[in-house]
Amino acid sequence: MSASDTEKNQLVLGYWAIRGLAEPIRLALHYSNTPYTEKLYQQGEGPEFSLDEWFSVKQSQGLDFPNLPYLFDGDLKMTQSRAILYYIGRKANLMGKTPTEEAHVMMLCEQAHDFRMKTAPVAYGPEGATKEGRKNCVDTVISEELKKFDDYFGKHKTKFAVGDHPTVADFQLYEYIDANLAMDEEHTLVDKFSNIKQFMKTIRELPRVGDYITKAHAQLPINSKMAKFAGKVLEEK
Amino acid sequence: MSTSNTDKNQLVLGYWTMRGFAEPIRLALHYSNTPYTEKLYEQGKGLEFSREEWLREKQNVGLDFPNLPYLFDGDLKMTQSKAILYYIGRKANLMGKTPTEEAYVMMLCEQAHDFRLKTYEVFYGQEGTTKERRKNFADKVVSEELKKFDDYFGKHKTKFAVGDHPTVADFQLYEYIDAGLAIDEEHTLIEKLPNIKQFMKTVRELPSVGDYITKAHAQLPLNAKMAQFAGQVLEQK
Repeated sequence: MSASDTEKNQLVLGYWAIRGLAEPIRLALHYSNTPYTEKLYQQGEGPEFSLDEWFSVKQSQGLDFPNLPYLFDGDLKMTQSRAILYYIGRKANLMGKTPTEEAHVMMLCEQAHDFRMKTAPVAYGPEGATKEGRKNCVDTVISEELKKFDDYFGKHKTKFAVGDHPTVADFQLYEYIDANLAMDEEHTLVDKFSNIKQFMKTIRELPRVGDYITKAHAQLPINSKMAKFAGKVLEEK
Repeated sequence: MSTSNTDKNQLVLGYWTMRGFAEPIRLALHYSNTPYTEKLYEQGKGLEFSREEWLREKQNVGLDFPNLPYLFDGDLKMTQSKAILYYIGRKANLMGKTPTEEAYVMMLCEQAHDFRLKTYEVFYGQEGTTKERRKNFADKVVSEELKKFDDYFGKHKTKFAVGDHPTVADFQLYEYIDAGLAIDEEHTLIEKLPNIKQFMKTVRELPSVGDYITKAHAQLPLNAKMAQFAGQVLEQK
């Protein structure tokens, strides 16, 4: 999936060859039809799981705070996944229509990120290595957090996360809810959250987004190779 | 410091009686001369460090994702410290003048936030338990992270963090750098970081900001009461 076509005025998005923290950005780029070049860094296989493909070039990319993901846009060279998402959102008019809508967009993006970070230690740690550990996480933390999002959708009754038009919050929420639902290996959890279920369907039906998800999520794993869970692409449900 | 004066159209900022994640927001509010009401929740003393004062209200204040800090602005009720900071920044014109400047503002705020989280290893964790461990952390981790910020200032040579006008990034950076520097109990680290030293002075000299800092930072501890370090106000240097 590494593109070699680097037109000088194209965006370049650099990240590991996984979904991870870059996927909401990719969804926003595809929805807004923004051309970009993927620069994908491959991780090595176990037991070393070498990160050398990135570490060998990390300090020489011209980044003030070398990190993944990064975005190049002409002279702009930036890092930090949410700052990148908001920048793409700003340029593509996906940050809401008013300061109040924008506040909700960012609040939801931060809340979704916190949710992703809450369960990452399970996916990468000993708890994620066993069915029981994963089920426990699903029944406690994941259920509890998803209920908050489900209640949010139920209360606000808007077609999208904020208002009746897509924003970057839709893509951040879609990806991080999906990543967490993946740990529910029986695929029964989402049926308890009808508002989330409807929301996920709405996003998948967006032009360009559905096609991208179908193709990319069959090829890119959710997590890094060294994760105990979802370090490889999961079987389609 | 709890005020009882709640003008219906005033902002209300709710948080613990400490600097923590709310302080950058407070700095931005003071700089921009935005009137607001502080709603401060006290933590209990002693072995329990009870959080009852917040917990008994938490589910009843109308927040979609109950958390501290929160901000009320008329009908808007929001959480997530960075989302609140960016909202205040949007309303007070402190988000930079162009999409590119705004991208740098957010990247710096995210990077500073990541650094503040790193300091938790001292403030709330094992690295804070002895003077030696704190010194070791200051010499290695704090030093390494602050050098990135010092290099950033040295490279961009702007008066403020982004461009020649204040942005919310100045307040996020000021507060979280100050928190990191507090770990260096000998107060020698900053002498090795001349660009940061100059930056901190520049921010303290801003109208409304310097006075607020002098008063508030003599009264509000950096961290929560149960912290290993800096859970009480530190001696002024």
